[in-house]
Amino acid sequence: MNPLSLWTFYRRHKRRAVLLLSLISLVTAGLYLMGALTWAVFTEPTRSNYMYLSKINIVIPFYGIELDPAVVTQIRTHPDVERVLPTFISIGIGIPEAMGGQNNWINLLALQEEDVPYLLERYEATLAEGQMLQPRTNGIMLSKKVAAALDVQVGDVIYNGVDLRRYVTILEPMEIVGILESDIRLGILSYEYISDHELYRDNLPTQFIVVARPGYELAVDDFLLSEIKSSRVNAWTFQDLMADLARDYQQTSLLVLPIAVFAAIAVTIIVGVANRMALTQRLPKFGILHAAGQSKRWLARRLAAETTVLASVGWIAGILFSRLALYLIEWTLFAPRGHDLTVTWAPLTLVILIPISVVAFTLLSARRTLSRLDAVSIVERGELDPQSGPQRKATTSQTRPLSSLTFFKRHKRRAVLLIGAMSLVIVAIALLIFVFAASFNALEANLGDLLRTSLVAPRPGSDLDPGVVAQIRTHPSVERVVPYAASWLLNIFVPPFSNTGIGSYGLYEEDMRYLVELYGLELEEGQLPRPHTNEIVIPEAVAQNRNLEVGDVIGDPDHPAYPGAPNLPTEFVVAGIFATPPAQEENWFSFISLEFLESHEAFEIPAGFVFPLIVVPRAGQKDVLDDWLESKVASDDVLVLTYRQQYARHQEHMRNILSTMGLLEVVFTVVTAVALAVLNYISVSQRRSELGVLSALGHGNWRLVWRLLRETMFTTGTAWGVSIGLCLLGMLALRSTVFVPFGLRLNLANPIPWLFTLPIPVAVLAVTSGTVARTLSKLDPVSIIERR
Amino acid sequence: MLQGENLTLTYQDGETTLDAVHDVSITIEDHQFIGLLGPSGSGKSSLLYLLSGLRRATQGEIYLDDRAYGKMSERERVALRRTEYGFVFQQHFLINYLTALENVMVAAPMQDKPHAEQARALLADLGMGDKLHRFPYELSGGERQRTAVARAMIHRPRIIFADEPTGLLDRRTGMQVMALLRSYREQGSLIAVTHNPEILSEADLVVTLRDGQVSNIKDRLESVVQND
Repeated sequence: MNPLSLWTFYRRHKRRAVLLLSLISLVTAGLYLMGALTWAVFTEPTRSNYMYLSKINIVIPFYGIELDPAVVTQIRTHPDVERVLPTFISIGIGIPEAMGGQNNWINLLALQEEDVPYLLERYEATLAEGQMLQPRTNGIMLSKKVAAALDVQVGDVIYNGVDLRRYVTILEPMEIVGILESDIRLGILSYEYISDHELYRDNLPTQFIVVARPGYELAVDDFLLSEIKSSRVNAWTFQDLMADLARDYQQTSLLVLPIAVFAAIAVTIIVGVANRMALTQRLPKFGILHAAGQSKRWLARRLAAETTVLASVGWIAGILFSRLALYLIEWTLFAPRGHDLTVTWAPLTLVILIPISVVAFTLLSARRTLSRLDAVSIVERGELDPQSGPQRKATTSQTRPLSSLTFFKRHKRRAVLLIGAMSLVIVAIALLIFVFAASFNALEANLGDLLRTSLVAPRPGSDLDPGVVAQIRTHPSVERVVPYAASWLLNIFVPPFSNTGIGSYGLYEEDMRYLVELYGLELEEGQLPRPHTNEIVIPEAVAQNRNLEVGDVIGDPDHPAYPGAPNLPTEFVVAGIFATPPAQEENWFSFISLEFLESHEAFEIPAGFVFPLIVVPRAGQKDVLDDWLESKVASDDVLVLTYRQQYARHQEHMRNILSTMGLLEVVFTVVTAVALAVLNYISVSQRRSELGVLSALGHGNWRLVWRLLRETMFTTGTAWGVSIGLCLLGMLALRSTVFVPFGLRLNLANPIPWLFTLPIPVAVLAVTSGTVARTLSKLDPVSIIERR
Repeated sequence: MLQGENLTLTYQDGETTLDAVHDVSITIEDHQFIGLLGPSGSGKSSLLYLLSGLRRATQGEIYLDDRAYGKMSERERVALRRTEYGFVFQQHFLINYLTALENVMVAAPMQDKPHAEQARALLADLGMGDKLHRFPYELSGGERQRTAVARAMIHRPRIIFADEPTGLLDRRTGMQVMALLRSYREQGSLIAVTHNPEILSEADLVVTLRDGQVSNIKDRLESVVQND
């Protein structure tokens, strides 16, 4: 047996080796899981729901535009195109996310009878259950994964009356007739049924599925993107999908990469400090080895080798553990819900830094310390401390030598590293939550239009009953009802990801003035839209966010006012900009002329149409009115939107995201607590002599535990303070550089993100008290005094 | 008065048992200087650990005045070490990141300015007035041990226990340290363990131990007569 082998060292220092190994494993696994799950949550739904584009392309004109027959001919005659199938893909289903939260859209493919077998063959999909779709019937075939995600089976009926959010575009009941065995998410319905149906046929634009000849998919993608795609015609291709996924991936990476870097720095510092403390403890042995002829370079390499093996084994174990966990999550959570969790090696990029930085830091630190190694002085001195060099001098003494402040004044580097590492971990997790919470808070302004009113509208496919309207008008809690037409004319970018649509209210002139007065809206610039004109007044937030000014035109497909601007049936001219209201009443009101909408053919408002209603309560009657609307007016045909109901839904979504973050924080909390436990264990071991003598001098074990705990409280408290400061600075920087330029408010008063900074310090204190108390309970002062 | 009656300290070493101290009785009067003499492994340090409360006797009992150690809780024995006893060891066991003054303050009853002044004066009396703010590694061996002596005296204990206090010092420095310790007799008792009889020349009582048992007890008068 080689007494100097690494194996011997690990066998004789099992606990330390296991603790360092666990620390590196946990950090690696935590980061790997975080990356994999974050990417899965943000990119997997898009990938899964649009994978049908791997076999076909879709050509679809923008809203209100007819596809030029010459374009269709051009596609059909292209030599690489095998078939062009008429379709209608505007009916879709919202599929709930595997981790909870929002629904993600999947388009259903309406196919002619003869095209169904052809396309199923193309997708290598087979009927697993039920029967094939019959033409001109209200049947739907879904792939197994879609059916599992929706928790439906053959014979079930789905439509917006069952679940408005999932089936908003399915206006009439449709029956699930077949379940398909397919790796790709599919939903197929009858083109003949849709094209004959009175609710769909009037809005049926010409849409096509373009199928490439086998082996020519890329060529057709290129052809559609370069020659067919324009400001009026969209082409959905697999290449586009891949580009979108790559962009989503990059955006997500921007969020997780800083966390990965913070975590890598933190673990490097923690392992570095642990190694440094251990090295201090082992200096006599190194002094003797050096005296016996081992060079300092050999000793440094030996230390680096010890860490390299631990870091490598820990790193590999962490990756294996996380991949196992991912397979387990897929098996138990994703697959039963019809979701895929693609377990890739991509998260390796997040964790690659860990072993490299840990080993590099250890090697540098070892070289630095060992450069001061003098075998003779070590052997002669009997008590060794690498810091006991001539560099540290004191000019005064402290009255309270056993205080935490004195300890850290004399161990500044250790204090800075510990505080820095812990702060980084807290900031890494909390800052992400701050950003998400800020985004959610900013989006609350989109509910501001319901602060003083409520909305009553027909559900899709229904009309508002004049009797219901009369009932609302005459209710004692109602001050006034205002007819309106809603149009989604604008959108606003809220960092980090959200591109949110802003509803514009089409209002009669008198009602517009009434609402302006009711909400205290003030024009920052320009004027309100004049009746019968295509003018629009927009909120200052949108103006700033999208760089719009009075006189700008929105809705022109050839000249979009800003990237991602929606194409509209007609153009609108910005006539005025509302000043941003006070924070507690912030709203993103945008008005257009209802007289204009009524007179414009593109909006197809029939004579005598019963408009949805803005319902204004009498003073102090908002709650009474909302109670009544929600309980008595809302029905299968009537949709009621109240502030409290929409706010609760918004909060629910925020809670879902924060729960995911909470899970992430649990991992980080455990890792940090273990890390600090390692450090405390090594620190107490290193200070056994000091603690033993203090014990002999009459400082009881509990007094010593309390002293070490105070030191931990000092570092933890300072780290918490530093992290709070860093978060505050980060959020102020985010506010001034991102939110304010984008016209958004950033709410720093939300207590939830601040609460997320607490678990790590609390866990560290709890674990430290446990570790220190356990170690000191075995402290025997005589054994230390006798060890001469 | 500190009194040990029929003290035995047994260690378990694998399957064999070893009496480090066997049936020793000893009485230390106030202001007395007692020397514990003997070769390595004779049990003198073990007896000191028993008398100072650092170890519990396997058999026998120790009384400080009329308080029996056996009836004291661990907490009370720890408090006893902090308030009534002072310690000087063979190694100085100073805390390496604290200055000389701070090391003395570690044993002060209160860590406040008046006690800091007291520690400063004590160190000055011991010839360390110009080295108050030096770290242990900046001090010579004798200076470190003098600091340790000051630490043992700062709270004015009733008894100072010194375990081989000159063991690592040269003869001259060792004698200086012993002179400092002896000077404490005016305030309290001193029990010193050594294998060097020279430093016990002024002891009131010298107890010689061999194999854990008392082999000889001489009082000061006898020693003087014998030396003559």
